[in-house]
Amino acid sequence: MLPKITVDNSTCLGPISCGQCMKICPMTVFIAGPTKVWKFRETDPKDFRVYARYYDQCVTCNKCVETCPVSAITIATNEKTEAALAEEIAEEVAS
Amino acid sequence: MCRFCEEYGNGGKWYLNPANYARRLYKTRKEGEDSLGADADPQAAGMGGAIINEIIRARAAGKQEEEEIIKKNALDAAYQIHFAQVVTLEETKQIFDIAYPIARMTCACRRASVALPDDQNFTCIGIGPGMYKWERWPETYRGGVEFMTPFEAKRWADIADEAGLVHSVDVFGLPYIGGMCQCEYPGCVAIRNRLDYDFKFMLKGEYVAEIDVDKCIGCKKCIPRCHFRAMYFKVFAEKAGIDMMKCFGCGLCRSVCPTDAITLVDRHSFPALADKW
Repeated sequence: MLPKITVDNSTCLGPISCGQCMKICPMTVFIAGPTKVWKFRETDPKDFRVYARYYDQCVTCNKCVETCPVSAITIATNEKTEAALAEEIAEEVAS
Repeated sequence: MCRFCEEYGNGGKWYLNPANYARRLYKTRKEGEDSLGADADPQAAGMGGAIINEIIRARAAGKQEEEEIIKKNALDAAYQIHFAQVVTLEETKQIFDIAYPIARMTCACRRASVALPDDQNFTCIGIGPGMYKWERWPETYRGGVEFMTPFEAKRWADIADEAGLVHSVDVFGLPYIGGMCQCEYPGCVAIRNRLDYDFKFMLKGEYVAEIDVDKCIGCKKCIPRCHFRAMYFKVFAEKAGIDMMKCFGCGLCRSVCPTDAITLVDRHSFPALADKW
């Protein structure tokens, strides 16, 4: 079973000013990723967003969902095959 | 000796060869397609970060063959451009006598992986002329730098070792070494991806740790020091155990041993470990 973790970036307070999910996750699933790739420069940390890079390690404990002050995180467990879901998540990460 | 020592070691360990710390002060611009894309962002490309999403996708989908192909292609490129190798505390200090300038800088891994604010994140050490770029262009290279004397840098290596951080050298365009990381699992992208996905961006060190069971008093101090899941406690024997196949030779376990029961031995003195990088 592969969980699908979604972070709503329009409500999320961001990793620097909040970052509670990153701190509480027992498997360190979340990282702060750049919102945009800049040519020849590193991203300003202010532009970081939270995203669930290591979703394959999620144990579905739901601690991140419970701790998020703005309810920006959802974890869906569904019937899709792991292969289909992995491709779907990869597409979203890339977009 | 690892392949990099053979090619760039000048008879010794490659990261102790001063020639590998010399570099021109400027970069030549890449042309055409090479100048575009994620690789142009030093952070997105750093520590194999750009490829890990691909590896996770293949693994989560159960596509083992595809995962191996992705890793092989990524590593063929990484071993020419940007990869890391574990070194010991003594070697770290030796390098601080070879390379110049030395500057403390923020860890790009932990900035992203645990959103650590810059003021708490001055754990990385940059070496060589690249550091002038960090000082000159803070909009391009984030977090700032603090230049250090070799004495201050060695003191810092001791503090990092005491805190339990693994020392490693970082290549920025083989054979040029431009950084010395002080890393941890899971904050360090290289260590995490190596341990969790067997992505060999970070190579094992030239040593392995060995325990003298007669000297070991079973105090267990060494066991939580290991980032590489190589240490365990033999309950009935009441001794520490090291899985030498998993050992990266960082020496953190040795640093805290009260009876000097742990020594670092050259990896090549064990034929079965000599090619396990």
